[in-house]
Amino acid sequence: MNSFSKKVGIINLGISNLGSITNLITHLKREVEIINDYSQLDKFSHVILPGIGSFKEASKIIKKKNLKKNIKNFIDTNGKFFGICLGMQLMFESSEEHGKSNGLGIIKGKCSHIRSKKLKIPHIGFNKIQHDNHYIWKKIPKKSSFYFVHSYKIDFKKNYNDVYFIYCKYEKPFIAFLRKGNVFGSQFHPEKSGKFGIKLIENFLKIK
Amino acid sequence: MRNFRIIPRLDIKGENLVKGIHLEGLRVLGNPEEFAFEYYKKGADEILYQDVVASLYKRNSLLDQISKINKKIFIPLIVGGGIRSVDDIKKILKAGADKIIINTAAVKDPKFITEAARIFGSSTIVVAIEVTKDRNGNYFVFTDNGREKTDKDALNWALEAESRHAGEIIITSIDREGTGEGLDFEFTEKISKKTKIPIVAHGGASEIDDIINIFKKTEVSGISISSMLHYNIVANRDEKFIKNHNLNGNLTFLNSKKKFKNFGAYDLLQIKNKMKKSKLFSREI
Repeated sequence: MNSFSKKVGIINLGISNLGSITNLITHLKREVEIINDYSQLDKFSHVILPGIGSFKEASKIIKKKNLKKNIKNFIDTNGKFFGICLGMQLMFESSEEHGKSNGLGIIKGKCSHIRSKKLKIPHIGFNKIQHDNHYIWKKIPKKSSFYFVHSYKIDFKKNYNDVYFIYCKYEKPFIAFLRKGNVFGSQFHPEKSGKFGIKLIENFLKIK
Repeated sequence: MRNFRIIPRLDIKGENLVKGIHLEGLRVLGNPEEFAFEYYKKGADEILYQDVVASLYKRNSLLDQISKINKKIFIPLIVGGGIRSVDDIKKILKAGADKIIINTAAVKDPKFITEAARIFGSSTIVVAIEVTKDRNGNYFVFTDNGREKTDKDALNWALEAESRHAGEIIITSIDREGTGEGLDFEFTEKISKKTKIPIVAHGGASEIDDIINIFKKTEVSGISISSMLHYNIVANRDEKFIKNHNLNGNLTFLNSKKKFKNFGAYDLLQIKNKMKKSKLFSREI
């Protein structure tokens, strides 16, 4: 079976609103299914881990349902993976949100509270990023704005090995987007970022 | 960098977009979806749907409209009006809202804010505060879409909402709302300075410079506007619009084809362009 005949899967952690991302995939005319049985990830060509909610709650579910192993298998067998907001934060090792808890550990680093003397928290609204030339950014202006809503962030760091980061600055730079092979993550919400967000997900779904 | 939001507000009554003055005297302007989609295309940062009668009649007619619009509009949708329980919030989020607004129910039981934030996350919970200024210059809280006065001091209530983990606060100046007399600079300045969470100001905006000025001179994060945008759409309609769109309700204003004299009628793009020129960053399209 080639990857285009497979569906797009959205992981349901039971704590997020899945409606908007589901609507977007449908808008892009791709078949989409909510994933409740995590052992079935290989049914899908592309899997999205959305997230609004608390890292701690998500971490408990991941542990209880053995999601870490399933996601790792999916990625290792060339599955295309995209984490949004909390879904991106969960790719890292840990978070300090409501006491320390563990993430998937796909990428090194930890999630911490935004600290700012001058600016309001949560960071809400469209903010600017400057992307690289990877094909996931095709037909998206080099400097474009995406919608953020978050109180926690991952501090920006330099690229290492095969991990590439794009930052956004809110007093200090934090990780707005990352990629590592067939794995992608955004702190912003592509499904809430108008036409450029739609384009980003469309490009992601075209990756074979 | 510091970012700014323009949030078109759509007051909904039944199936119609309506607009009043001081939150009263509602006129039918058209189909909310038409307006929401127009603002989405023209660069709105978020869209706000307010069911203006829900609190009064204890019902919520928005769910169908939300789920319909959520398939067409890929920016955040904030929904308010008559939300008084965790179950109400669940239903509205499920229909496709990204954030919900609580007002009357929070004033009656402040613990509702804490509980909602714990279950749904702070960034989902917006507290709306409707205020009027009395003769002595004090700001008091109103509920039920501006109909019921309380003895709560508005600033103290905002600080309590923040301490109860509200994600942001929308302040409506009832005195200014629908009048086009300009945003309440004094209170917006005061409240945005005292709080750490984002403040959205609503009520009275009628000129672009008014918006630019308040963004530059206070710590406000967003401005919610309605009349100055809605009347522009209404003014640009053709003759047969009302007939063709099968509108019902109070159509006296629409049928009269009057201009609304206190407002400059602006296209959202004009506002966004002026913001960009003034180096106030918001969604770029």
